[in-house]
Amino acid sequence: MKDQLKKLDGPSRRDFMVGAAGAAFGVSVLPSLMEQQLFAATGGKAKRCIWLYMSGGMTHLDTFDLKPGASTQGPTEAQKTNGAPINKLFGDFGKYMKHVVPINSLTTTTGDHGGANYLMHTAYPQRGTIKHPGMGCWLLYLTGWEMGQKNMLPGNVLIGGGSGQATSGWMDIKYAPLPIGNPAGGLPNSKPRVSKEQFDDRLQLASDLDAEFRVKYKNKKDVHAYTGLYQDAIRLMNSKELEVFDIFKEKEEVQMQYGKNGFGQGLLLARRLLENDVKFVEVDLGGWDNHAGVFDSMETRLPAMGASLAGLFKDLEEKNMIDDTLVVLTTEFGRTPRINGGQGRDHHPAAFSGFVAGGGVRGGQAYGKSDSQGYRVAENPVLPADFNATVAYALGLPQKVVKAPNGRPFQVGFHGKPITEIF
Amino acid sequence: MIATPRLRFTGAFAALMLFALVMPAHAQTARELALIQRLGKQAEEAKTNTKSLAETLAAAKTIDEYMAAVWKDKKATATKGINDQVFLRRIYLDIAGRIPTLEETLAFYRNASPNKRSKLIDDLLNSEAYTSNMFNFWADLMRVQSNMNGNGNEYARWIKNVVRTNMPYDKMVYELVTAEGYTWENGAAGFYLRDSGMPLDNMSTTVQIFLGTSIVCAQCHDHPFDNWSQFEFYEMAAYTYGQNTRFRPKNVEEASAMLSGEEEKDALNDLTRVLGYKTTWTDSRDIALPENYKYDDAKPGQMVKPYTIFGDQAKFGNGVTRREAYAKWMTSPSNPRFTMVIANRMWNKVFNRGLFEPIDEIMDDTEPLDRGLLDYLSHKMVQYDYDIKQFLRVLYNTQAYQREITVATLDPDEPYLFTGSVLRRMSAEQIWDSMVAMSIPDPDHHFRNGAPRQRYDYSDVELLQHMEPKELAAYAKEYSKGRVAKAEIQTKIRDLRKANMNGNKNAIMALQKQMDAIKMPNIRDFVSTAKSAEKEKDDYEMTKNQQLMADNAEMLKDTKVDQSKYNGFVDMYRASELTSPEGPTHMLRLFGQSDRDVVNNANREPNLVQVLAMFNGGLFDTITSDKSLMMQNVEKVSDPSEKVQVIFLSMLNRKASSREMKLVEPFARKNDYKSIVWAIMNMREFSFVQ
Repeated sequence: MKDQLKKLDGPSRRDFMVGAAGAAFGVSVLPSLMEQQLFAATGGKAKRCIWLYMSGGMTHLDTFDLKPGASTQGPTEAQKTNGAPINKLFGDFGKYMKHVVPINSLTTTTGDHGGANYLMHTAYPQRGTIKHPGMGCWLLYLTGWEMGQKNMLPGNVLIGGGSGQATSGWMDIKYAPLPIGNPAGGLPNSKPRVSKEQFDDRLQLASDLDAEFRVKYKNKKDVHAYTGLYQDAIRLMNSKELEVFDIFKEKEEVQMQYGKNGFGQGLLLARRLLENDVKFVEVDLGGWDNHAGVFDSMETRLPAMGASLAGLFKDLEEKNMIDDTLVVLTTEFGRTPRINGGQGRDHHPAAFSGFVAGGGVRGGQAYGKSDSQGYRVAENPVLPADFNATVAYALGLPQKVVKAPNGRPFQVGFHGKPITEIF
Repeated sequence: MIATPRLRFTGAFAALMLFALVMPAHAQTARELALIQRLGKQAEEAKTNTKSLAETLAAAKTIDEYMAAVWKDKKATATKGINDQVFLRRIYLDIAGRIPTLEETLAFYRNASPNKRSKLIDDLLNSEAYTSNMFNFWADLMRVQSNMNGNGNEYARWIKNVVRTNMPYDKMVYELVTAEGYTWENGAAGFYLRDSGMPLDNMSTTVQIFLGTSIVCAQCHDHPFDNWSQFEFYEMAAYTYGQNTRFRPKNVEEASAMLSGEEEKDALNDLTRVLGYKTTWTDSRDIALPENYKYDDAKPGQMVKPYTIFGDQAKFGNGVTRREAYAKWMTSPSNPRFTMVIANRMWNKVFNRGLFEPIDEIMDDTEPLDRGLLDYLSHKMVQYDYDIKQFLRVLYNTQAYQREITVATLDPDEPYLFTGSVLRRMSAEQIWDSMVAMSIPDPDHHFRNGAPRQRYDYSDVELLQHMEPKELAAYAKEYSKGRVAKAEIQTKIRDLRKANMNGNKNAIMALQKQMDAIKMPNIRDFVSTAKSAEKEKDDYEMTKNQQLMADNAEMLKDTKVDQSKYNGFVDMYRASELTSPEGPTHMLRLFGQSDRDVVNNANREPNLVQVLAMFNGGLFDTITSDKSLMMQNVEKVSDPSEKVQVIFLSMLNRKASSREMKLVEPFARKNDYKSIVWAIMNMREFSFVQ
């Protein structure tokens, strides 16, 4: 299979997460015209996407699917907003609900973390025999993204991920998200540990020492590939674009607006990346597997999370990015309406919540309903595949069938149906 | 899709088509016999002891003769044999999975014996480094994940013991395919737990990895370009469809009945969650065709009985379970694919290309490069009783293995003639493990104290498993009591906070203290002393193989190494000791370690993130710290040029040339040996295997 990949993809092999020979020559493999045609074909307005992933299984009853007065609600209280109601603890985020469509009828049958995470990220059930690409990969693949078209930045980034699907599945590895563990740390390993002079001396020495080897194997593609990558790495280390990864280049007040915590900083980095033509950024927030102490957990996490989300939406509004930037939030499953002995909630795939916002979405209303206690979907069920198809729709991606290198057919969002009513 | 005629005998038909590929069961090939005659006395020994050095060298020579015939036929020329320097680094990376240390490098160069290469091959095959390296190999193939259901660390440990004790491959597969129990009783049980809830996927993967046959398409529809029909897929799946991977233990069930409140039952469930994954069997369970079955030969939902896709039928009944019959059929030397797949897989491991490719997708038109050679290898595999170590020993002793790199570029469509070795970048594990070998003494025996990170805590599983229901119930009750008490205080705190966001601090602090003072029960207080003293290990019976392996593993405790010498090197473990797989930002993953989600998913693709990691990554600090093995060795010699040689010998396993000496001199003069280390780390010669 790998060999077939090689054959299919000859000229673009050396384009990796960042950097490409093409960049130097200004080669653009697919003109942006094609991009426009794609968007025109389905009417999606969004050009880029922030995918917020709540890892562990976010409780729906205590976030976006409130059931005031129900016995399953526990101590959670709702707040009225300029859109759908949300947990009071989200605070200022309520002011931006006019952009947001909570989906309160997500449903799946997969109740284990790994399988459900995979399903939500790829729209396909997990198999032991093939790996499916996530939405970021599809976006790059279907819009003909190539490294170096616009700049030296990757097209797909995964922030804070330990749980995200950090691969390109059966697609070429160039579509795989660049993983960034700590958003405050910049692009990992991009700063020399010694002075520039010393670095250059070391590099020169390496190059001199390696000369014989390079000559001996001059027609070996992999050896040659590293030569190009060394140049790209040095270029990137000295480039302006590296600063895009540095959230501390933002004004203090903007940093405060997003919140000085991992999630807030992840959102800020995501916005900086998207502003610079990165297409897809996933930001992961873990800690939702609240088998015990769910309400305490909400008390500590929701105010901070709400402030960060408010910070993001405010910024997107101010930068006029809200109409063509899709922001979605999802998770692997919900949590049981029944509150267990540890004051927690357990896995509940039958009904759960996420949201879509911005990017041409008609916000200010919820989509779908669960029953009065939050156990089952009562109206407009949305499967993980439908959720993915909806994101694809917003991004203007056609759900056409493409063949993986092994000949098996796949499409973005699997057989999911997009929720077109909310656009 | 074109409708294929639905022949009920496709299985047998396919087997006929395969006949040409079936390896002959005769004792020795003509070529081998001729060679043995020439070798005379040495051959006698080879005949009597099938695993002697003489036999090994004779088999290696036979392979070389096959290769020579191929080259003659295709008018190809082989590259030259490699020198000691290239051999040393290559063989260490291939068998030990890392570069040799300074000490190991010098020992090899000082050895003047003419058969020192064979000796080194044997030493390495018998080292713990081989266990570490081969674990990575099997873990990639079998998708071992620390965090899988039912404790992946125990599954990993089992595989390490398989390698350590050199369990024959056919036995290993038999143990995996028939496995049952908890992983801590029988690590092989991880084979089914890995695919918990996905028995059909498990079957596809099993047939792929052990029989080199891709039937995954037939899981949902007739295979578009091969013989397998969906019906046949279900017939195969029927053998192991009786697998259960979720389990509710009897003591938990009974304890639950003794509890009243939901809170207590929740507590019990939480405490015993780790007992919920166990491989058990409902042997006679048939499988139903899917509801969307669309072919004429059967109806949707129809029940299907086991039937093998090729070879003999696997007969069950009369005390032989379906899975036993299936495992016997699969691992039998007369199975048309089992032996040649492992022979080719090992060939591929040693030579970086298979004799036929893809190695996991044999089709009717699959042609090995040389049928005679494939037959011979299959024959040796059987003769050696599937002794993987002995088989590898032969391959590493061939001239074919010990050749220089083929310099010409290879077209992926052209068959590779093995005229020389393939230049490749080190695998992620080889790079990481080489860094470890530069940093710490005795790198292969640094064992992790405690298992790699996992979702659940398995430390008390055996206690939980053997507790009486009433003990479990009492434990759950106390646990629940503590939880409820804590929750009540939490509610009070919440109310206080709500009433006044900033005030009430002292009252809240007091409550927090109260909450912290609530002790959660200790499991050991609920286990009766008589039992906890020496509890019989379940009613689970070890098979002979497992018993043998456990004993051998005990005997091979050269693993009992004083760990104090590793003080200060907290994170420097070989990849096989780390979480499987590591997280996405770990250096191993950046360099292409498999995610172990799908079979053999590692890659050696270069990318910029790797270059940055080598340029500016933190590992460099560990390697060049005063405490690192290499830097201590540098300290031991006083002459600057000797110091340089220590670095070259530790990293490239060769001496610096006079040209190189001149290049590094300005750095050595300034006592800047770190820069030299940095430069070598960033040489392609360092990260490529020649």
